[in-house]
Amino acid sequence: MRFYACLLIFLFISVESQPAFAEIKPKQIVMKNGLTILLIEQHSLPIVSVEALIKSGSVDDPFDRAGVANLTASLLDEGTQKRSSTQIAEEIDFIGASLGASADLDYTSVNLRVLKKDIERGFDLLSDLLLNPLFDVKEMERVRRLILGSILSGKDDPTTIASLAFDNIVFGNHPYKNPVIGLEESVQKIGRDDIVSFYQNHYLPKNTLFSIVGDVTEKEAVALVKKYFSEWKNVSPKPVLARNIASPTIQPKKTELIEKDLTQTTVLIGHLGISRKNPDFYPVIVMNYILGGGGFSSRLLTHIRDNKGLVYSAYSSFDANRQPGAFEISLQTKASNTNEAISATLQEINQILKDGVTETELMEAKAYLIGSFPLRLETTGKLAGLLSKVGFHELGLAYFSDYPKYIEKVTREDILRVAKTYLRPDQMTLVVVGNLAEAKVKELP
Amino acid sequence: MIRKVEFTNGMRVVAERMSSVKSVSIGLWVNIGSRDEEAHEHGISHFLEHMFFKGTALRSAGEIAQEIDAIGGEINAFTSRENTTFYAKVLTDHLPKAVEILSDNFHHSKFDPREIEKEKQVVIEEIKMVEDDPEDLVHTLHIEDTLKGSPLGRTILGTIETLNQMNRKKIIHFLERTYDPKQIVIAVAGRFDFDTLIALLQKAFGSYQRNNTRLIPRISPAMTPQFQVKKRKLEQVHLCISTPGLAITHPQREALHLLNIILGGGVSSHLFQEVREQRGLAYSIYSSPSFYQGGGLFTIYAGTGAKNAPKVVELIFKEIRKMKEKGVAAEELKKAKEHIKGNILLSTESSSSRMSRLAKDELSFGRQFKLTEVIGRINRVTLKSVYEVANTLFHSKSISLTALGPVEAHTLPGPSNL
Repeated sequence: MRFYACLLIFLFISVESQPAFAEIKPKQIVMKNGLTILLIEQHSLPIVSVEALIKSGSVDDPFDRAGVANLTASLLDEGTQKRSSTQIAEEIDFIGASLGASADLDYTSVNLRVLKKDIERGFDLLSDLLLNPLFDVKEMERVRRLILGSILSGKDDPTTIASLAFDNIVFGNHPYKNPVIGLEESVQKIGRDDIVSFYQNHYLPKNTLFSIVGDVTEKEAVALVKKYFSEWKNVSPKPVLARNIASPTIQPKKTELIEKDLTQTTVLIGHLGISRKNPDFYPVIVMNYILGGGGFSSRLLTHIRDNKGLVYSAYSSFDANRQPGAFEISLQTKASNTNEAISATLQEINQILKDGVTETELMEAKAYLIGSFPLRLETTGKLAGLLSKVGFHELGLAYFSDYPKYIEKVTREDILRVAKTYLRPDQMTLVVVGNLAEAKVKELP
Repeated sequence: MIRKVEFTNGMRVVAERMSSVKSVSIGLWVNIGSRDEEAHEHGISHFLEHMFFKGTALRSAGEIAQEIDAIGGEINAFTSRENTTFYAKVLTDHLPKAVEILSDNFHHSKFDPREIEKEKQVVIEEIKMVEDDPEDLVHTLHIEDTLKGSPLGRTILGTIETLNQMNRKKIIHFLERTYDPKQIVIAVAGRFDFDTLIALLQKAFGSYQRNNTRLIPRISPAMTPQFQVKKRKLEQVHLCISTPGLAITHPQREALHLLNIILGGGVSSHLFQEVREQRGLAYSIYSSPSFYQGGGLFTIYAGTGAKNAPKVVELIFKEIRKMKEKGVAAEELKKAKEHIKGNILLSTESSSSRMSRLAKDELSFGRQFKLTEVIGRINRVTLKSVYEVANTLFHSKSISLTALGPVEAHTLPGPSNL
C-alpha cells in the first residue's frame, strides 16, 4: 500500500511540478503622502481583497481609556460626511462585499473584499470610512452600549475571564494587559474628544499600509489609491505618532483562582514570551509547534488528550507582537482532573527543556510548517492579511520565499537553546476558572 | 468544469478543477448523521467520526496525526445532523498520500476498545464545553425542545449517558447498517488531473461493499411550539426564536434565503438595524434558516441584557409581523439578491467551499448546478414569493422560544403577540 502511494507521488510530481510559493512577489509603492501600497497581482478570479492597516492599536490607548482604538475603529462605518450608518451597511450589502474595521493590540485594520466589477465602489466606501468619519455622539453612545454588552457577556465566558486575569498578571503595567475591547470602567469614561484625538493622531497616510491582492494591475491599483486617497494629508494637532512604550518585563509569578459555577475548569499557564522581531522567532515557533502549537500530533494534545483522555483541547502559543506578548498554554478539563492536567502540562514543559526534541519531531514540524504555508495563502483575503503583517513587522518583500528557508534552518540545538531561554517553569503564572471546591487546585511548585 | 463518475458500487465522485489554486480539497461525504441514529445510538455518528482517526491496522492514532501533519496538510472531519464528512486539503503533490490516509482510516480502522474508552472521555469534555457556552447551549436546548420527538431534535454530540454506553459492537453495527456506498459522495475541488484522480479513487473506494444496510426513513420533522425560559445565573440573556423552515429541495428555498437576508441575515437587515443599530439593545442578533431533508427550521438568535430581553422579543415579533403584512420592498429584494450573488461569487475563491457545494448538491439533488443556474434561480425570486414564504412559515401557533439567563417568563411577550 505504502509503496504504491510513493510511486504515485512521484508520478504526480513529474506532472505538476512547480514551486509553491517562490512566485509570490509583492511590489511596494510609496505614494506622495507617505501611504505605502503592497501589491500582489492574481488574475485567476475576478476578486480583490484590500487590507488597510493603521499602525496604531489598543497599545496606543490613553492610559486610563482602554478601548479607544477599538471604539474609534467601530465608529468608522457608523456614519461619514457623505453617508449615514444605514447607507453604508446597505451599500456594502448591495455589492455583496465585505468591509469591516477592527482594532488589534498593535494596529487597526480595515478589510475590504469585492468583486472586480465593484472595485471603484469598494474604494469609494473605503476612503469614505477612513477619511470622513463623523464620530456622531448619538452613534458613539449606541456603539458604547453594544461594547459594554459584549464586555458583560464576556463575564459568562470562562476563556475571556481567564485571559483577562492572566494578561493582568503577565503584563504588569504594560498596556497589553488590557483587552482590545477595553474594560467596563474605561469604556464608560471614553469621550468623543478621545476618539477624535486618536483618529487625528493615528489615522494618517504615513502611518498606513495598504495591502492589495487579487485581480488588479499595478497601474489600476495606483490609480485607485490616487483617486480616492491623494487628498489624505499628514496633518495632526500633535506631531507624535507612536508613543514610546517600554517593553513589558517579566512579572512575579502568581496563581489566581476564580470561582465560577461551571462543569469544566479553564486553565491558563504561562509567562511573558517574545516579540515578532526576536531573532529566535523561527526556532520558537518550531519548538512551540512540537510542544502544543497545533496539529493533532503536538505533545500536549497527544499526551494529555489522546493518552489520558483528560481534555478536549490543549494548546500552547507564543503571541509574538511588536513587543513581547504572552507564552500561554490553555486547556479545559473536568474539575476533578484539573490538578492532573496541570501537572501533565508542566511535565511536558520540563521534558522539552531537559531533552529538547527528537530528529523525527523536528523533521515533521518543519514539513508541516513549510508544507502548510501555501495553504494558508490561498485566498486573496488571507494573503492580504499576511502581507500587511509582513509590512507592519518589516519582514521584507522576500518573506514569502524566505519563510521556508528560515524554518528549514532550525536545528535541534536551536530548539533546546530557545526552550531553555523562553520557557521558565519556575516563573509560571496559573489562572484557573471553574468550580474551585471540586478542582482543589494545588499551588504550582 | 464539473465532472461526475459513479463507481459500480454506487459511490459517486464529483470533481471540479480550479486553475487559481495549487492545492486540492477532497471530502468523503457520508449521507449519515445524528438524525439517522436510533434513540439508543444517540451520538454515535459523531463518536464514529472521532474513532476513524484512532488507529488502523497500518497506523496508530499518533502515526495518523504525524503523517497528516508531515505533509503540511489538513485532514479532519465533522458531523452534522445529516452528514458525516472526512476531508483533506493538501498541495496537489500530496493528493495520493491524502487519499491513502483517508482510505486507510475508512477501511481499516480498528475501533480498539481501549481507544473507545479514552475517546468517550474526550467527547464528554466536548459536551461539557457546550454546556459552559451559553450561546451554543441556548441553540442546543432550543432545537431539543422545538423538535422534541424527532431525531433531528437530538444533539449531534449525544449525551453523557448514551456515550457511556458506546462500545465496539455498537459501532460496527451502526457502520454496517448505515455506511452504504450509495450513501457516499466524494467531492473534489482544486488543482488535479481528472483521470489520475478517478484512477486513484477507484482503486481506493471502487470495490467497497456493504450487504446489511438498514436505514431508518427520514421522517419530516414536526415542530412542537415551545415557550421555555431556563433561568440561569448569567450576565446576559440568550434568546432563540424559531418558526418552521423549508426542506432543502423546496422550490421556494431561494425565497427563504432572501427573506432571511432581509430580516436578519446581514448588517443592513431589519433586525440588525432595528434592534442593534437603532436602539443598541442587543450586542448580537441574527437569523438563519436550517434546511434539512423533509423540512427545516428558521431561527433568530439574540444576546441581550436582562432588562432589555422583553423589548427585544417584542421587536423581533414586530419585524416578523411587518414582513407578514407587507412583505418586503422591491428595492430591498433587489439588494438582497445582489448580496447573495456577490457572496456566492466571492466564495468561489476557496477550494473547500467549492468542494462542500459539490457534495451538498449531489447529496440533496443528485445533480450539480452551474453558477449561472444558481444565479438565475435567485434572479427569478419575486416579491410575491417572499411574501408567500413569510405567510406560510410565520404563525403565532407555530412559533417557538427559548430564553436562557436571568429572566422571568412572565416578562416576555407570548407568541400570541405575533
